[in-house]
Amino acid sequence: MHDHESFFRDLRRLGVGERLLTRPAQLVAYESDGLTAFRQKPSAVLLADNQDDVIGAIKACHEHHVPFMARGSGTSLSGGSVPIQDGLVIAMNRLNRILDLDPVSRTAVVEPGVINLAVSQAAAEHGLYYAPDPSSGPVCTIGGNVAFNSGGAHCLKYGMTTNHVTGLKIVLPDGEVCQLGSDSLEGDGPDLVGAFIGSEGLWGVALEVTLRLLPKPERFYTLQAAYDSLEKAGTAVAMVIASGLLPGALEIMDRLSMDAAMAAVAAEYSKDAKAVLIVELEGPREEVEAEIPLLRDVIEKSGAYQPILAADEEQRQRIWTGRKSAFSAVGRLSPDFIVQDGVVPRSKLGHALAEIDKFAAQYQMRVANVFHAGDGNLHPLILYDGRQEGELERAEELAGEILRLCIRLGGSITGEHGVGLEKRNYMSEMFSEVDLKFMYQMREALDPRQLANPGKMLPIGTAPALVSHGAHPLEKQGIVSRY
Amino acid sequence: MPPSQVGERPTPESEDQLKELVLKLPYVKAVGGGSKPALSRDATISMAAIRGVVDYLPEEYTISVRAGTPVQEVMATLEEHGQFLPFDPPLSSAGATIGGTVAAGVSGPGRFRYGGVRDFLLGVTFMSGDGRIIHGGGKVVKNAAGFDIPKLMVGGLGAWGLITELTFKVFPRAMETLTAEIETASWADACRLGHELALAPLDLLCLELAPPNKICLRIGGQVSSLQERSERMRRSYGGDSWKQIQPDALMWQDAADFAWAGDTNALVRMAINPKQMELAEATVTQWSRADEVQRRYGVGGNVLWMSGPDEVLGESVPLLVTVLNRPALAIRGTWDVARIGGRPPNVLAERLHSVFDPQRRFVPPKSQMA
Ligand SMILES: Cc1cc2nc3c(=O)[nH]c(=O)nc-3n(C[C@H](O)[C@H](O)[C@H](O)COP(=O)(O)OP(=O)(O)OC[C@H]3O[C@@H](n4cnc5c(N)ncnc54)[C@H](O)[C@@H]3O)c2cc1C
Ligand SMILES: Cc1cc2nc3c(=O)[nH]c(=O)nc-3n(C[C@H](O)[C@H](O)[C@H](O)COP(=O)(O)OP(=O)(O)OC[C@H]3O[C@@H](n4cnc5c(N)ncnc54)[C@H](O)[C@@H]3O)c2cc1C
Repeated sequence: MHDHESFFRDLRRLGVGERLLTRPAQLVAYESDGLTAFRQKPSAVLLADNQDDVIGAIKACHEHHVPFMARGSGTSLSGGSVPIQDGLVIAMNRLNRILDLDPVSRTAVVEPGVINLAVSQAAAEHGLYYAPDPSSGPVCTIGGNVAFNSGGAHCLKYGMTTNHVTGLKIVLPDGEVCQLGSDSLEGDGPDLVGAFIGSEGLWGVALEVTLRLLPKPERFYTLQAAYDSLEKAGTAVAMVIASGLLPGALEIMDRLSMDAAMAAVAAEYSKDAKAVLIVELEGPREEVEAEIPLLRDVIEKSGAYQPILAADEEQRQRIWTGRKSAFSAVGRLSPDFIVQDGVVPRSKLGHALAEIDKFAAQYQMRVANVFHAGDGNLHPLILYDGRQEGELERAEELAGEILRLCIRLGGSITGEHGVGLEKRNYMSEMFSEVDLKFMYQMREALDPRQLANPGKMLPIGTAPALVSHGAHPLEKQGIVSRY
Repeated sequence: MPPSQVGERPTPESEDQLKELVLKLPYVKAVGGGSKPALSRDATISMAAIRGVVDYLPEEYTISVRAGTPVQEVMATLEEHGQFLPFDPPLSSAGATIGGTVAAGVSGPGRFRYGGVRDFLLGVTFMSGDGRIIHGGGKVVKNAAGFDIPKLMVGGLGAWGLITELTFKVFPRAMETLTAEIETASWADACRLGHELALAPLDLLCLELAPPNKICLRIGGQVSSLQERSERMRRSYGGDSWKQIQPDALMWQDAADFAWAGDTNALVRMAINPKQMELAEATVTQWSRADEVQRRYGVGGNVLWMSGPDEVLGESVPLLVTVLNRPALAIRGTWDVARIGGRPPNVLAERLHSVFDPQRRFVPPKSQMA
């Protein structure tokens, strides 16, 4: 950027005063998204107070050719919210009002800085909830969820963020404001809302989001079963699917994750189990009651032992705490780790896990696995020690092997964490040259100056230096755990 | 390349033939199965020969099909494994194709529970206006890599590309389903009860309202649970008017085929907010020929389907569009443009469209963009 001062002057004209941070000490907190090994200092951070701040800032960026990036809570796991060199970070957290929550249309209109979990909390008085449940739910923002099309443990049945947004107000990279979709569940015309979701900040910034709310299920039934091999747990998933049941969640943890969870939250797993499967049924009470014997039958036949049934909400929470704590717990086993979230066809889960085991042996690194088995979304955690010369690079290489494996098996390099900085170099292995060029052209049509979150998702630009720095501060405090 | 049966349109069988045509014709408009004539009257290419199931993996919950495949064929293939397209694609009996369903962006009654065509579309292959074959999205049930191009095909009315192949997520069908009708004292009561039902944790598959005072709902699940669930709902919501409808499947197939609308009538769709149901009825019932206009409020009141003689709808739909401040989409009947009430130009759409169709071959000569 050539002329900081005239750019800053224009920003200050918006009346942002002290909310424009430019001193290096003020910028430190924004230099990474915490969970990846990337770091970059922005030239300034604007703590936006309202939509006009955001629009005004983007117009100024456009005028002065300054790259910008919106930032929610900075929990991206793919380097998506690492600042742009010499760019502006627009912090969205203060735009955190729920503007409307309507039980009749079952929608909520929220500002993008609203925390994911806050939506369900606000909707609870009407018996409603917001379905997408990333495990970062207590901290991540709806804006970040929209940018990444975030998921959670219930995607198989309920889909991801995109399936729960009906309307958006956005500001394009040149400052033009656009209204997409509406407050109807049904769309009309090309689905621009769906197209914007998952665009990782490259198409501009979301200013208002209309969410669809669902009635909270009346009854849950949660079962945890142990297996003497990962393969058997994988087969059990296939058997549940083949039985015609559609569980709300189907999750698997491997031995390393179990050990970690046991140490962290006193979760209980049998000592010799190599894998544990969690299945959750939900729905009206009569329905769940009728499904229970079917599920138990399948689980019995799958060679499970020691199935634990959650008899009440407390036991259910215990099972989920074990599952949800697994990641941060694994983090304690190692100074650093990388988490991937590639997808494979469900029937190839067993094969994929065996291959990952081989990679781990080959690279002499430990890889833990906790994943959304129902939709084939792996979450391998590669444990490494960033203080050891060359370990980060080896971990990254191993991660690359896993991504290529997912592509080879016909899956995807990311199920929910987004491409960000971290996986952009694998885009050309997943998409053909023609298809990738088409995406570049879409970006070019919307942002010819390449100012909106440049360097993310599409493989171009220079990557910020890789710097290892361990677990996210929130994770260290035990507030969130990685899925 | 044999001419198509309807209207002598060229019917390409391969991507090469398709490309040749796309680059030759000044205006490229696809027709699928002939079920939504108001949208494809001016078609210049038939997609009927680009047809067939490419890949069906029941254990993965995914199916890939060529765009010209009749929806009926897709449904039958899935049925063999007890699976289905949960958005109940409309007009399958009239020969709707899967490509046309996506391009029109229409879903049927099942949309209420799990989502619409947009929610189940995972991947797309299409030809752009400059003759390139582009693949968007993926083939697994979960994927967040790259721009979500498939979404732009949904409701794009063919203006965003000639769709050649589509991949969908599918679900297992409920073991058993049960349908009931409730009659209320008035439309206002029906709306109130409809809202209440939609808000309750009943796991309804479908929820539709039919003026003057009827609600129709469907539940699905295990054989052993349905009667009990239905009994509980009857006690809480139904009262004396609760009536179980059999056979249940036929009734919903009829609903998806608009059997209530009559073949010769025009058919129009409006995406609305459930809160607008009362205003919509209050407006329609004031029309002088209101008794000739049939209405159905689907998806718990999120979509209004309207049917009636061309001349009646032609005059009154634009008025309703103004009152409700929502555009309407013509599905059948004689209309100058498919999108009634139009829509203000959208910058995002315009800029993106320039990539999909740089020469504007997919846009009707004198109309605005889809
Ligand atoms: C412990 C932990 C657990 C996690 N678990 C899950 C999980 O289960 N499932 C899952 O999917 N993800 C998970 N994540 C990843 C992460 O939480 C999600 O990607 C989340 O959506 C990011 O939200 P954020 O507010 O932190 O966004 P940020 O990290 O601040 O930003 C992410 C991206 O969104 C863009 N962005 C932010 N706001 C806007 C806006 N208003 N308009 C346009 N673009 C915007 C940014 O520019 C950036 O590219 C987890 C992360 C952590 C740390
Ligand atoms: C009652 C009735 C009367 C008819 N009368 C006549 C007549 O008088 N003359 C005549 O010539 N034909 C007539 N037809 C046939 C009719 O005009 C078209 O063949 C038919 O409407 C198109 O099929 P469809 O609705 O399935 O289109 P759909 O396939 O449902 O098309 C809907 C939309 O999708 C688009 N589309 C379809 N396939 C694709 C694809 N692969 N890629 C991109 N976009 C796509 C279309 O362009 C259109 O915008 C009639 C049909 C019916 C049902």
